[in-house]
Amino acid sequence: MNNPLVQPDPGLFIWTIVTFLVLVAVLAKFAWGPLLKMLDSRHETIRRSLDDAEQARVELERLQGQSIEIVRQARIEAEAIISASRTDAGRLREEMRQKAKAEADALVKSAERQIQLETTRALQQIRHEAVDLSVMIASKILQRNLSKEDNQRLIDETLQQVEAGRR
Amino acid sequence: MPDERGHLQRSLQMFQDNVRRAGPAAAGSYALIGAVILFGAIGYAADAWQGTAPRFLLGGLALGLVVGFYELARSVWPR
Amino acid sequence: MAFQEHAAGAAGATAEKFDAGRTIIEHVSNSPLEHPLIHVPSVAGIDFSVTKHVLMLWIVAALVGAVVTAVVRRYLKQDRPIPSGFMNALEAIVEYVRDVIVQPNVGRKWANTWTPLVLTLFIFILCANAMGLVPIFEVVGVLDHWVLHTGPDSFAKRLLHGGTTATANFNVTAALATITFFAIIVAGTKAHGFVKHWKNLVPHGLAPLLYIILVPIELLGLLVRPFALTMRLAANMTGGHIAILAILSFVFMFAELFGHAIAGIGVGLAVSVPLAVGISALEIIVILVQAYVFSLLTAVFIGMAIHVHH
Repeated sequence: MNNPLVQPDPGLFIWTIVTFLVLVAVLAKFAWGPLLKMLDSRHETIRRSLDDAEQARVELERLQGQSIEIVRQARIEAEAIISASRTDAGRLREEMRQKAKAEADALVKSAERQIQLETTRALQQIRHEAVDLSVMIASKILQRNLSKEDNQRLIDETLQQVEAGRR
Repeated sequence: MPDERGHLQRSLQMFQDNVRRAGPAAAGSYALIGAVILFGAIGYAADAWQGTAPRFLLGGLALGLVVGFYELARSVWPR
Repeated sequence: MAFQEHAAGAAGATAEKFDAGRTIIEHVSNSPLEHPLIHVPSVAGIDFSVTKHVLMLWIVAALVGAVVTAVVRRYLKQDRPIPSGFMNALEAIVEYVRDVIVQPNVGRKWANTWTPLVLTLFIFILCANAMGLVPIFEVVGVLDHWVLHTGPDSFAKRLLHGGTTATANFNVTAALATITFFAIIVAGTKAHGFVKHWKNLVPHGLAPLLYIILVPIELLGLLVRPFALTMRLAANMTGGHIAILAILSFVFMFAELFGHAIAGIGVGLAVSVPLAVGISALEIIVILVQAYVFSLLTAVFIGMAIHVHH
């Protein structure tokens, strides 16, 4: 064991352990500990900000989709409103036309009836006048006063004859 | 230029990969040699101390072989 | 490495016949205990004198501790945690060690508990390894030889003895492996409780006869793992330096062989220096890989104690 390469040296052995343990203690306390903690927290920060970015992206996508949906909905609604109002207007126009036509028809009909009525009444009056006149003329001619009942019968007969004759 | 750098980087990556994979294997092989030398040396010292010429040395070498192969097997076939 | 040549030359070639083996051993081993840098009385039979490797450990530890703490403190004082400059590299190392070495082995729950230890192991071993590649004391030697002219037993002279790579000394690596060894036990105890940790070492539900064989083997295996760590790191660090020094020794060997300095310098320029540069480049990879493997295996062993598979 004279070869210095394999010479046991307990002093060096112990010095090494002491030196190394001191170095580990110092570095662990002042360097590695804080550094590892910082690395972990930075790792966490990066992970969180990536998560946040992802979340924001998803949110943005969702909002974009939502706005597109809203626009689409609004367009559909507007089209529905327009077509509804178009049909409404058509219906209204038709209704009004119908109503006007009906009114006009009614007016014409009542006017016709009025005319008919007036005509009938005028004819009746004329007949009565004519009868009275002819009675008066006849009595004058006959110079004879017929009894009221005879007179009336005669008038009616005559009127019927006239009526029959007119038919 | 970027191709060259990529090549160098790939080579370094490969080298590092090999070292990493070779590490445990090297541990096994060194354990084999180490066991033989360690127990051989212990046997030699015991012989020198007791004056029983080759017995402890041979026993130590045999023990070193057994322990060394056991360690080698353990590192090659991890349970 | 050129300075190492000078130093080797100053130590070997000029004094007596050049002995490559002795010079190389001189240059990779610790400074001898008989001539420590600072003499400290031994306690309980253990010599606590500060040798060169102890000094190297202190230099590395002080450097790592001061630089890392200062950089991290300054960084954490900023309001926005954006790393810059050296902090970039440090943060990359920290995240790499935590996410690639520690977490896959130890698990998310215990990652932050064991990352500081594994990180310190990694950076400490890496810096101690790298320190061996920097010829600082050879610079001191050259200064001493040409400028200072200190006495034969001065502090500067004593600094020159021994190698600069503390991790090439197996006492140092054994100490680091011992820390790993106890870290494994602490990890198992923290995760499962003391008794359960020891019970976890062997698989449950086997034939009782098997336990008689398995329990001792597992216990011995406990010792083997840190020993393998010790050996690998020390051997790898020593090996590279020995290779470099051996190649550089050619310079002096050839100079002696041909009896002329020109021959040595020629061999040096043609063979030794290019080879030594190549091996030094290789060493850069080796110091990284060894630091990596040491910390990775520590994490793997800690993970094995925490996640017991049956």
